[in-house]
Amino acid sequence: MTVFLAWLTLLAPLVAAVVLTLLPGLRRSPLGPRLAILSVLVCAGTSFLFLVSGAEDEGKWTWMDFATGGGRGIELGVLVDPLSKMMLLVVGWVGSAIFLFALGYMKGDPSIGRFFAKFALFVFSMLGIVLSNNFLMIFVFWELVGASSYLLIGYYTDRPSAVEAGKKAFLTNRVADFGFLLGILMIWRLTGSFHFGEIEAAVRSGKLAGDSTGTLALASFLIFVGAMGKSAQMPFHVWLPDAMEGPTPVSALMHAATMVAAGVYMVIRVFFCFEPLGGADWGWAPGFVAMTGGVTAILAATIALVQRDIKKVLAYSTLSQLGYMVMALGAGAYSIAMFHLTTHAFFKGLLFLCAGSVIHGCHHEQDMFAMGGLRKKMPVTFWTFTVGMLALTGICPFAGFWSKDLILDALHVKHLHGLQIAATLTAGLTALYMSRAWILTFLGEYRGHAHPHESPKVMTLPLVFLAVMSFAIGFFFLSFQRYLGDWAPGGELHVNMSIAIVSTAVVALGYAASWRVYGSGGLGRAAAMRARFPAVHDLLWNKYYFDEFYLWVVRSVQQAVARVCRGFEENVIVKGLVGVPVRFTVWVADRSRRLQAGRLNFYAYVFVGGVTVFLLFLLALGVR
Amino acid sequence: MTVGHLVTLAGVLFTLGMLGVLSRRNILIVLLSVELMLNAAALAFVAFAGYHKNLDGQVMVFFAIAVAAAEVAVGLALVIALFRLRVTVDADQVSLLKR
Repeated sequence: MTVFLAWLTLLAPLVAAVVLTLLPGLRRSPLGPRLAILSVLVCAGTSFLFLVSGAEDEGKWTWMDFATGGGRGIELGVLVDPLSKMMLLVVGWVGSAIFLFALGYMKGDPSIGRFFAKFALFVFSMLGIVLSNNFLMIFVFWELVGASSYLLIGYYTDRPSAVEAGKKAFLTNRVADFGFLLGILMIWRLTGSFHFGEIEAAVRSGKLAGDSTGTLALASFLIFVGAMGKSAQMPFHVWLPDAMEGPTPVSALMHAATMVAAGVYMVIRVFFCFEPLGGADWGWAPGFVAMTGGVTAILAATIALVQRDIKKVLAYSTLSQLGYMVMALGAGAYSIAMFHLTTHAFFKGLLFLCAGSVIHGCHHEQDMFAMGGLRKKMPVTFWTFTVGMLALTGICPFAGFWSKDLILDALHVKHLHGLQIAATLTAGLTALYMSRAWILTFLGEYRGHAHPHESPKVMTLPLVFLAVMSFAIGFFFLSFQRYLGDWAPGGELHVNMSIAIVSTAVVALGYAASWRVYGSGGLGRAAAMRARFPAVHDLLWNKYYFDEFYLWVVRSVQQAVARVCRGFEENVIVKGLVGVPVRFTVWVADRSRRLQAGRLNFYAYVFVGGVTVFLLFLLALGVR
Repeated sequence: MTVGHLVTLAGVLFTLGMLGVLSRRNILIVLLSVELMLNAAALAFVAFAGYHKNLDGQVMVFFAIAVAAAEVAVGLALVIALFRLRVTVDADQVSLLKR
């Protein structure tokens, strides 16, 4: 029964996507989007069922059979265990809320059916990652998720910036996926299997082929590279801010709650590969992971400080929070990372939907400098956004407080004090940029030209739902730890009081600083700050020049390689390989032409010569 | 006068004729050289006829002369036709093929 429900959950969105794609009549009717929403509700329902019933199971299906000769087939499978059940909850509940919101947000869009078809395809791909039981399957769905992302980011086909952003996302992911694939193959070489359970057994029993410790560390590092791409860790982060070109529900579901979390999820799935072998306290692979997370967290937070587009602020915030999750992974606190993933999905999804509500209400204005005073005009959005902000910045007793402080504790326990300080600072910065966004958008007086109004119920209801969840989910953390803590390390940590006090103080400082600069809605001080630190502002505004650097690298490397290839093609192939036979043929033709000179003498000469040869031949034959 | 002398003479005449055919530009001279070759062959026939005391060789000469006559008639007719077309009897000039 469990396996059946799992397959149903996985395939329902696919059916919705296929049906919507193939039947234009359905697509254009109001039934189409609702069908897609229904398919996601299936996931919400089954995830709830799984959680309360405590069901766990695994189902396999052989896709291609190479069983002869001792080989293995390519199999697909569904795995229902504590980790996947948690993620199903996230995808199902946050996903349903976002789908419902999208029904209101995308209303009036001529291709709304096409949107929901692609959105449902994404959910199918994401569920594929969540439920997969082996590396090959997860890789297939990994790429599918990337493809859906490309399709949805570039949904507004008439906007060239959107199309470019879609390409950028897909290509950056592809580069990282190369590392991912290498890692998968290395693991296969070491353990002889792609299946997670079998790999875990092999790793734990210590029976690995080849130089186990070093190779496994390298393999897990490469696998993390794949996670870096999907979860937008530096230096693969460049695609996520650009991905905001997509419709806001897409940004909410994919680039906040689920898809970007897939990298973290995947690493937790195979956490046993990362544990340093030989009982060492620290391996270089987890250390690299933690460092990457830390760098991403703090740098992204700094960039968020100068953004004007409300979605970009949230995008960099997502980057920063993903950095937190990755830091937890590096510190070996896998269940804590999962917990932060869950809480983040709820409040970041909420925040993005609030942003969508604001954008919708202000008639597609996204620049916060043209907003203000929306507190009175959009009260529901205002209050739900406030809840989301408090959750994200980690004010007790909201969800973010528990997950953030557990991560800080995990770093502390592993003696990663540098990262701990960075993470604490990031928390302060988070408070700063979030309250800045809050003040600019909701407080003060309205600075724009549109007539903002509150969004319809179909959009505000999901906001309320997610706000309630963001608030409540924090209280479940104890049971959460017990739940997931048995499955993966990290369950033994508790919130350290002194750490909590310090972090809360830093957060309060962040709020205070933002209040000082922006007051109750003023832009004035902001301009002054910009004038005082022009170099810093430029650095942050240009996102640390990552894009420019990449463009330069691509240009120089690509041009150089292109020049070499061109030289090879021109000289070796055209002049040589093709040229030589050509010239030879022409030479032969030229020579042969002389046989047809048209001169009588010559013909007679050849004739006589031939006769002579013939006679000599006869003579030779005659002499036996 | 032995048969050897006669055959040698025939051979020399034949060679001279062949050289003429190969190297002369004037088509009429070429035809003349061909005649010379034919007559050289006829002389060889006569020489062997005398040597073998067999009249078959002499009869062959009759055939050779008849053939030569016919061939000359046709050849000259061709030359005249060619001259009417190209106003020359120079073998090098009559080629339409490109250099």
